[in-house]
Amino acid sequence: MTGLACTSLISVDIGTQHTRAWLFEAAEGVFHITAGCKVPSTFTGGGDVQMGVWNALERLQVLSQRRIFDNEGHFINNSQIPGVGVEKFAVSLSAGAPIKTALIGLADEASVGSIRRLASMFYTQESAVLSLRGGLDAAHQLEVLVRADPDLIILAGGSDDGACQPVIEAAEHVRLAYNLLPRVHKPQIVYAGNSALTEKIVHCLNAGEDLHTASNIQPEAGHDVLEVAWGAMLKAFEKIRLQQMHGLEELLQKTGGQLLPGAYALGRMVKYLNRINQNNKGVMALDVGAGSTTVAAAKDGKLTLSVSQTAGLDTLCEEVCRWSALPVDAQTAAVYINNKHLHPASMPATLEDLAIEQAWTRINLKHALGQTAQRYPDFEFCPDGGLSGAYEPIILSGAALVDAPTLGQALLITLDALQPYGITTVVLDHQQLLPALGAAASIDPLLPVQILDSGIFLHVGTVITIDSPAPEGSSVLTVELRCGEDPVEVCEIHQGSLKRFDVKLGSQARLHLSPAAETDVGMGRKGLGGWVSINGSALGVVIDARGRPIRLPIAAEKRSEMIKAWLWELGG
Amino acid sequence: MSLDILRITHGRQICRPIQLPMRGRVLVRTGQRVEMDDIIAEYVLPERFMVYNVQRGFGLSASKAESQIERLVGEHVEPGDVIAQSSGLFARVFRVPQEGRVISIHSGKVILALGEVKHICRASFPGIVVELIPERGAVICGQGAILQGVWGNGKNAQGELIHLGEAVTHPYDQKELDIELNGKIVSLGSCLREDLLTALLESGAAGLIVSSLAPLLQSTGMNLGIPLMSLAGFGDIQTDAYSEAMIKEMVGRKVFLNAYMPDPFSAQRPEMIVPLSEIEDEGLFDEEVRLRIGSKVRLIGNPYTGNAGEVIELPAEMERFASGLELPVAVVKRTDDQLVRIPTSNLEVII
Repeated sequence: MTGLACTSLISVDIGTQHTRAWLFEAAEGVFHITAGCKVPSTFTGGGDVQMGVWNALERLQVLSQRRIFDNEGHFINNSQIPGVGVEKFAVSLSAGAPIKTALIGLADEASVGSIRRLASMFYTQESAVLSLRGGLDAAHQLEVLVRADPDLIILAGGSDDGACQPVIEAAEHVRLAYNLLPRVHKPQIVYAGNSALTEKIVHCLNAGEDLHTASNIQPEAGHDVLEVAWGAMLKAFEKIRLQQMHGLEELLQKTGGQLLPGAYALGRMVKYLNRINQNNKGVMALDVGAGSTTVAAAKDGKLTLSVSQTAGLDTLCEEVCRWSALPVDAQTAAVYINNKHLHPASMPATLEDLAIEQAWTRINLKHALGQTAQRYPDFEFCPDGGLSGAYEPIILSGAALVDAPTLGQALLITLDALQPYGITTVVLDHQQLLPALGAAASIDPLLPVQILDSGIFLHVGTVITIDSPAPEGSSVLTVELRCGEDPVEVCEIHQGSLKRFDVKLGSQARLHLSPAAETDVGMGRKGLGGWVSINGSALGVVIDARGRPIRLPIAAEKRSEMIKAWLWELGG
Repeated sequence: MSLDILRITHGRQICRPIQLPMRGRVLVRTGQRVEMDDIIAEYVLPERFMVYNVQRGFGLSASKAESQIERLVGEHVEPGDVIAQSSGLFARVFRVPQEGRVISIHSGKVILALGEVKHICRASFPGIVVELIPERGAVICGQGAILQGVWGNGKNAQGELIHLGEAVTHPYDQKELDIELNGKIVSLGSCLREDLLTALLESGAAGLIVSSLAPLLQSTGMNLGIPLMSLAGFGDIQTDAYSEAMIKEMVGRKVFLNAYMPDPFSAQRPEMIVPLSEIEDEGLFDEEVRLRIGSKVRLIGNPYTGNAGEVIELPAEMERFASGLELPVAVVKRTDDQLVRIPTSNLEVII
């Protein structure tokens, strides 16, 4: 007995642009990655999602030399024959338009806030928000719901011994909207409010399999328990995506696959990493994709998970210009970004296009972090001051970061948008494997544990962020670096600078930090320093003393020179 | 690779599903000939809702209030019909203000759905109904030429096609705008000024086809009362040779402009359809489109945005571009005979 649920598993991650597939096989009770591949997704333009998956599986068959298809070309599912087919199949899905969602809660700050957090985990777009204490009468509530034409309605409100009548009345309005709208597919309804009312709500809504009930996500006022509604949300998500995406239902039937939202699968892995993390810090993953950005952060066992759509361009062109490594005007930036929306698969071929694209990535990442902080008031981020909580590691994922021409560019984008706190390590999920592992975890929880143990991340660098009120140019930190037999390197760090020290992959180093009195390097309090052990990485140690917020020169040329100098420091 | 496909096609079968976003009533039958703007299907939603709180209005308990209600759920009501009334010295009556239906009686409240708003879908070009989509609409087939763009403002119109050429960039190019544009679908080069859009609108144009649009004019374009299609997107982009040839050939003909908004999740693209009697390609369905040597393509991204040409080589090795990205590459012979190397992801395949 190995303790494993299976010995072969394929996990597929279907994204907007690419479909990734991995074959995991177990030998002597330990899973390893046998093969992995990436192919274009095929559901855009009304296409069949299966084609991309079959293409990926054919590639896996060639790469692994394992028979995955029979002689008739059928996928061999639930196979018990060693070396033939696979036993289990998992699917994570981040592709698709955001799900139009109506949020209905008792009061803005309480239940609507909880529902908003719950909805943001599943790539939704708010098409209506009804606060039952917002003074909107029944007729208007109905009109709002009918006009919103939601794919998903989430109804919550009332602590377990709290208000009943407004929630029951809202359920009646949901029932009317559900029945009145002649939708091709009825909206899915999730009820996660006052548990004492569940039976009444089920009876009132009479929505059969379109209704998914959960325990109360806010059993006591001000206390979220979002986890209790995940199951109901997953069922609703699956039904909606099966209706929306051509070929998805057939794919799940043919493979026996289990479907999970990509962001949810990523969140699951981040939560797991936080659980095994020994450093008392949180774990964060940032996934910047083609149409959305996911922020997943776990601290003390609590998950913050939020998917945000790409920022609206109207007011942000100036911001894009500000963060571009080459001087560009707002018109040029707007042309590039608008055309990128029309052709999301296109890639920057020129330096100017790359500079605009990476500036846009910074804006999107910062926007997503800001949205996360709005949704989760205890998420320690503010757009100007950056992150004020300690997270280690910070995992980067998504095409915009993984496909950056250099690791230095990916790291600088992250530092500019996130402005991390204290000492942290930044790693790259360069294979974009985490969602697939998260999906596989629901079949065999040991699989991701063993694969993570094998080391799947690329260690980009150790980042030490300096927080100091000192004026530009003054000394804020003295660093002493001891790396193997190399001579000891001592360096003075000045406010406003970005400095990198090489610590090669596979080597180890000891770093002594002596901060100035008012300087916080994340070691517990201002002015406190000490020794830090560092593992070697692609970029080594980066000390970011640029201040918060990062101040950029007003003149475009100077600004561009500054960003280029930072990039140069990080290796280009 | 996932291909961006652009149709610039002469006489062939054109089939398009015309359907409602919701379930409704289909108003056409198979084999029926339809003209542009003919209604294909419709659905109806209430115009508004009205709630009578009988319990509060009459000062009764919920159960007593419900006994005063004289209607049943689902019942049709006419203006003046009594919904509920109380008896006694100070009797009160709730009457219906507008035709509608009782949709709910609950906790002493009556909810009415009043009036109706019809939502319809119309044929966007003339053709024959070849298939009904139950409760949604129909597939309409015609034959002719198609010229697709990449961005549209969601409106449609028909009219004679007139081409002003690439040079009209200013509203005061009076010579060109003095031509009778009323009721015509007007094609021109890039549109970078709001006053040019306004001047064309005031000239009575029925629709506009531009090679490209200034990004700042996107919202103006969305609110324009007539359809607007951009062939190549945003910025200052000249009309590519294939689109220009098609436009010049179709000048003077009646065309149908469906400036659909771009939706990456559907196959719909903004397009101009020109009905033609002769057919060059009988096929109803497209062959699987692949990027291959000989494929006609339009180029995306700097420095070649909007150029067109033909793929002459597809190197097996990836290539590093000026941006530093290493990408699959195609060698394209542009229509001006220049050879350029471009990432395959930055190509629209023209069929």
